[in-house]
Amino acid sequence: MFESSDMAQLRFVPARHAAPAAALAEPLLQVENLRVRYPGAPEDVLRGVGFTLAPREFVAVIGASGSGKSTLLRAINRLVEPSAGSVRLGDIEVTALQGGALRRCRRRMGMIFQEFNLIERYRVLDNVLLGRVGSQQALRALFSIYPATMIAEAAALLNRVGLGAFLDQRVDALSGGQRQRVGICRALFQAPELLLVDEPTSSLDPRIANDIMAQIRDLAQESGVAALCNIHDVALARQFASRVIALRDGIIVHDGPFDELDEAALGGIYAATDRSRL
Amino acid sequence: MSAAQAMPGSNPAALARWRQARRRGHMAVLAVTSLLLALSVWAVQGSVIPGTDWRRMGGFAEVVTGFGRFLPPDPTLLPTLFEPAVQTILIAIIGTLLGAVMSLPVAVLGAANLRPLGMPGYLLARGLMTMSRSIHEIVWALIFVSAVGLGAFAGILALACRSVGFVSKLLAEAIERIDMRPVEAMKAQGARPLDMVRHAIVPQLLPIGLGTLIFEWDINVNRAAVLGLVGAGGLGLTFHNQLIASNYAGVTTVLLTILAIILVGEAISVRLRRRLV
Repeated sequence: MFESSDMAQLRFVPARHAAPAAALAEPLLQVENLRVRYPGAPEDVLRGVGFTLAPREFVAVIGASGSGKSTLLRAINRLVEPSAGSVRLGDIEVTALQGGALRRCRRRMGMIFQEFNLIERYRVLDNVLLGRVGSQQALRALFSIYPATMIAEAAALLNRVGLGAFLDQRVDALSGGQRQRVGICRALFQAPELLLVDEPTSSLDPRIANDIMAQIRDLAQESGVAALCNIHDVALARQFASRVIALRDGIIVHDGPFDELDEAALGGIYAATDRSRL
Repeated sequence: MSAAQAMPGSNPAALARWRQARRRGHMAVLAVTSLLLALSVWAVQGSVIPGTDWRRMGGFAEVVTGFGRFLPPDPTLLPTLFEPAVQTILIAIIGTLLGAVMSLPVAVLGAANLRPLGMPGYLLARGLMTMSRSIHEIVWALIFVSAVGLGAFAGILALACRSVGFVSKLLAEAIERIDMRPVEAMKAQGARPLDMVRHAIVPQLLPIGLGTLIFEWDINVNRAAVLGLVGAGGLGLTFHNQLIASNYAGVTTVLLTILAIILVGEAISVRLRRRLV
């Protein structure tokens, strides 16, 4: 175990660093004509969505409730099965993968959830360590046996987000903001190339929401990780993302700098949603 | 037209459906209450009144005298009760643990959200749960006494089979109520199915499972005490011997010993549940 004095000396070393300039030309994520229809639903939730994401890019996805933002993120890592279209992560076609290959690909994509999705009865450090449980040997994963270096790395990451003193606490004893920080650490501990962030601040009050968004952006930049971040709050999206993808009724209605979105365009994105989809 | 229907923006068709659903609910409650009342009257008229030997019961004084034969308890019997008492406790512990092991596959097969063997497996598991609960522990004990002979082993098997119904049903319901969000998170990070079960499902089931197990053990101490009546070992056998010898004071001693074991068991189970659940 680590003493608190050791904790202060530990620093989280970002898993990935800035990509070379040549690599920036190649998109990290390519989504083409993506369609999703839930079983029994009368129409598609996503209707031919397409965009690319460069390495290290931080992109906000905005849109009204029911516009398909969460479905888009879940279709990228196949938590939701696309009914048509293509998702490529680097040179891998994600929609063609099955079984072990799909699991290996998912390990390259971290996900941060609106409601944290943590193991409530586990301690903070155990939750973060679970970020790499899939890449551990099966028996080690089963009995939660982790190398000392990995434990030190997870502890340093928690220190980085201000939870160093809480790593031995059970998650169900933490506040909402603290839980979301644990969720961020778990996702980054995977050492992903892409972060999928689904409404990370919806369950939090505005002051904490700002801190959480800043931590996600800073840690993503330090780690050289690209991020696709669903944000319901337009002001937060404007503050933290240079590029914004706007969805309305499952279709991309804007993809570009935030500055190109005027009040009328924003009003259209949020007001014209088909109410039956909410 | 009601006030709600007159409100601008209200949906008359939806309101009518809501009223109809509420009326159906009231009618169902009325029908069930009437049925229960009618069944109670029928049971008293058809079974309790003609099925009781009112003449043999005698007067109030005779009833009091009958009860008086059980008092005071016979303390000389106490030293001979130690061994059967320990046997009763051990039968309860081993019977509960064996029942828990048998309950696990039944619970997994019978959880509506998992159904690993589809509908046939689900129906089989639900059938086993119902069968286990509907057969009394004395009947289970009689079955196993005839199968494996007299003694504690028959008692252990009887308790295990009796426990399956309760433990597996509660466990299956706990599985059905699992919070799937941690499972989703682990799936998203590329965890193996076994990792998801170990880290996202088992921690949620553990407190409910342990609580159920301790509660079942508590009940099984009670059950084990009477299984001896049919030859399945423990204090029940001593109770039976005292009864056929018409030593009613000895019967009271055995009953008080059973009561003491149950009280101690309950105290332990309350403390364990408070610590673990």
